[in-house]
Parts: sequence; C-alpha cells; structure tokens
Amino acid sequence: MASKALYTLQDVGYAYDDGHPVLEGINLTINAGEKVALLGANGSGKSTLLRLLDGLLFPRQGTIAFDGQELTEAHLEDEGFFLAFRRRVGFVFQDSEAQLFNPSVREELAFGPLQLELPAAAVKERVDSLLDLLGLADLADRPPHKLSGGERKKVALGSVLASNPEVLLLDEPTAGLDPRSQRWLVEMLVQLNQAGKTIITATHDLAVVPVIADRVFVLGEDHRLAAAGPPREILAERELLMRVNLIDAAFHEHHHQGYFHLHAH
Amino acid sequence: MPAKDLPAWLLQNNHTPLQVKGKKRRPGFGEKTLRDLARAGQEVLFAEELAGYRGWLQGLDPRFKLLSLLWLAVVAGLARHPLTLVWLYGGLVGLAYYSRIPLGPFLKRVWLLVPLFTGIMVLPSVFNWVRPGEPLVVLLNLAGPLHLGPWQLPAQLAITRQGAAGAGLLILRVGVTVSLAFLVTMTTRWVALLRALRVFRVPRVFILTLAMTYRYIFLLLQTTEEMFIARQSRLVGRADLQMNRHFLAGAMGNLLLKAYALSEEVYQAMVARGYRGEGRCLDERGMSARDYWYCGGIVLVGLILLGGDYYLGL
Repeated sequence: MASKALYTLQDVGYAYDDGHPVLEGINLTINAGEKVALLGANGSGKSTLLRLLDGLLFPRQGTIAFDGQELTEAHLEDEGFFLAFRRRVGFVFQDSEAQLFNPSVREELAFGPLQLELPAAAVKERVDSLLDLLGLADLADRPPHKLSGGERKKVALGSVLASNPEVLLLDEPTAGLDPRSQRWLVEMLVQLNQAGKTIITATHDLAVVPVIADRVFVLGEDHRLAAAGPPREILAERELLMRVNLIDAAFHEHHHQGYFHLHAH
Repeated sequence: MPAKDLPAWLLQNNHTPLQVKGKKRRPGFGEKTLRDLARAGQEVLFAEELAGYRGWLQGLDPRFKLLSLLWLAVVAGLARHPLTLVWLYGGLVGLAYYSRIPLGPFLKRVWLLVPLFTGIMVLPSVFNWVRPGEPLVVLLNLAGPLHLGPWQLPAQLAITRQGAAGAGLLILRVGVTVSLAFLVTMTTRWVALLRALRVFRVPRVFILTLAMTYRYIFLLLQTTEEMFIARQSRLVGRADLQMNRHFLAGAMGNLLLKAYALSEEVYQAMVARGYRGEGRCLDERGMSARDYWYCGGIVLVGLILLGGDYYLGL
C-alpha cells in the first residue's frame, strides 16, 4: 500500500543551549497510518525527537515537514496553522503528572477540544463517550492525583484522544504500568492504528515493540539514527541492540505462540 | 559492563542486636515536619470528604453559596445588635448540622482562634485610657492624672462599658463571618469553588492558575514528604542544627528545581493540546429552581435579620 509521507525529517539536529548534542543528522520518513517505534537507551534523544515532531521544540539544524508543510516556530505562531496542527497531532507525555494538570478527570478530557474551539455541546458528548470507552465514568469528578498509575495513563491517553488527532505521539507509554494496564494500552494503540491513526511510540520496552510497530527506528548513544526496519529484523540483530545499549549479554530471545521477544533473566 | 567486587566493608555482617534500653528518643524536626505534612494532607482530604457528603449545603450550586456568603457577611457587618448576630450564628450552626459537618471542630475552629486574634486587636480599645467611656471594671487607681509627654491619661484605669460592648460585638461579628466562610469552604469542593469565582467576573486565566497551583501543591507536598522520609530512614542518632540546616536548604533547592522542570513540562503539555494563553473551560451548569428558591430564602432571612436589628436599635 502506497501511503503518503506524513513526517519528513531531513538532517535534523538538536542541541541544548550549552552545545551538548541531543540529536544529530536524523533523516527519516513516517507515513500516514503507520505504527512506528523509536527505540533507544536512556538519553539517546527519543523524547526530544517526539517533542520536535510535536512542534514543541524546533531543530537547530535541518528541517521537519508535516504533511508537506515545514514545522517552524513562525508557522506555529500562525493561529490557523497552530490550530490545524494541534488538532491533527496529539502527545501523551511520559510523566502523567505533568500531563494531567486539570482539577478533575472530566475537565482533563475536555481541555484539549475546548482549546481547539470545538462547540461546548460536542465537547460534552465527546467527554461522556470517552469516559465510557475508557471505563472512567466512576472517576469523572476525581482529581488526577487520587488515581492509580494505570488510571492516570488512561486519562492521559483519553485527554489526547478527545481532540481526535490523526497522529498519536507517545513517550514511554508502558513505563511503570502493571501488566494488565500495559496490555490494555497496547491493545488500545493497535485498535487506534486499525482505525487509521498514525502511532509513533518512543520506548525501550522491547517486549511490546513487535505489537505496537510496523517499523522501528533505532537511536544510538551517539544521538544518530543507528538503524531502521521492521521489528522482527531489528530485534534479531543482537549486535546492533547491544551496541545501542538496548540489551546486554544477559538478554535472550523467546519464540512462542507466534510471538518473539527479548528479555533478561 | 561486569560488576566490580564488593568492597570489604560491605561484606561485613556484624550488626548490632536490637535492644530496648529504656531511653526515649525525642522526635527531631524531621519527624515533626513529616507529621505536619501528613496532618495538612489529612485536613484537606477531610474537607474534600465533607464536601462530598449528601448534606443540605452540599447540594446547592457553589455560585449561589458564594453569593449568599457575601450577602450574609454584609448582614453581619451591618448588624448593630448582638442579638441579631446570635440569631444569625444560631442559623449557621443549624445549617452546619443539616450539612453533616461535625459541630465540635466547627465550633472549636472559630471560637478558639477568633477571640484570640481579634481580641488582641481590640484589646486596647476596651480601656478608658485609649477610648474614654463609662467605667465597668476599675483596674488601677493612681494618685492623679498621668502625664506622658504630650498625652494626659486619667487617674483611673478601667475597662469601659462601651469598649467591652464594642469589642464583644466585633468578636461576634468576626466569628459569624469566619463561620460563614468555613461553612462554604467545607461544603464545596475546592474546584467547584474556584469555578464559582466566575460569578464575580474573576478572569479565567486567574482561576486556571489557582486550580493548577492547588493541583500541583499536592505533588510537591508528596515529594517533600518523600524527601523527609528518605532522610528519616537513614538517620541514626540526632541530627545537629547545622545538619538540619544543610538538609533543609538542600531539600528546598531540590524542590525548586523539580517545580521548575515540572512547570516547563506542564506548559508543553498544555501547548500540545492547543493552549494559547487563554484557558477555555466547560460551561457551568445552570442554576435549578431549587437554587433560586434557596437564594430567595437567604435574601429574605438577611432582610428579616436587618429589620429585626433596626427594631432592636442600639
């Protein structure tokens, strides 16, 4: 299937103000409707790359284009461009505490669509259907700090889904979740992808990669793109995964029920 | 990377046996701070729990509650006769009872603090040296009038009838107003209360900021508690003053950095969802017929009290 390119990154580089590099020479294309995983060890620049894709940071070098339009600070200062882009791209942060800044779950879910100027009646309808979809109806008026980690992640995902974005960017979504919440999240992401959404996940949880990605981009500890390809091929390259510090010698692979995964004992 | 061999001291296992020696350990400032933090958290949880009860006041629209608070505070301010205030206070106690607020803490909170703080302020005015009046209790008799530079004080120091009455009225008035504020804050969720501020045309961005402050105070409170617990768990013996100061300065700096990093991430999370500097909120629900009835009732009660006060006169 020939999909259109949604994101095109050309020679993208980013560095902190003190000159410390975070990303260097990144070239990649992400197509509409794809499931993509950004793999890399801690500090390899995955989170920064997601923030660049969401137009929260801007490259110091190279260009990022979204649907043929370059993502620049000037473009995002334009009201029309900003609204259209924010409606199309949603970002689930790693730290749900930072993402959930509203005083109640209901308001959290309503925040995005309200900012994006959806009529109040439509927002209420969306919020109610999301509460139902995510099984959060009983928690609607609870403050986010009283929720468990799994519930918080659900609310964080719901708060982004409320704007019905075309692209979902997720930063370490499974980190710190119990197995049931992890499974729920992964299944939800697959379901959303089947509904046509582009899912871009930054993670170092290799176990979920074959399920949440059709294509994998591996970031090395030198902040450059070390490899790209289908998950099975990438996960089979032990030498590559060891070089980029995603596995060490204690890891081995399992094949069962058609699934393949790597883990340590 | 292969793990290095453990150093020799880490291999020693000669730990002191547990023994009760009968000497009490005094809690240090760390423990006290922990206890205070826990208490602060509990109080807020308790208030939220009360606000969630199915009581009389809890069922009313927060905007109406705020407006009636303001109206009754005006009535209390205008009342010139103590009996009017006593009636009003009696009504408030009744409201608290029907709203399932525990009366003990409700009375204690007001009547332990108000006389103390208001009392200190009005104390000088009860004496005839500050405000002349009819003596009620004579405290001191001097040989003659006292000259202090440009001031001349009467020979007798006494508590005046007017002074005592004025101070009593003021304390009662403050007590009633504080009780009113307690009633409203204890029966309304903080979030709903903040939203209700829109009635007074408080700008949205201000309410959003307040709501977020309240939201993140808990997170930072939790971080603080964890820092104190982590320290407490490693503390052997009593920490001296200098150690405490070092720890406190470190903890404050750490908290500030965390708060700063968090604020940056929260801002990004807001922008990512389309925030452009002006918060938009869900519409408040409309007031029901019941709310209007109560609103009318409270206005009427206020007018009756004021009428009664006028009738009672000075």
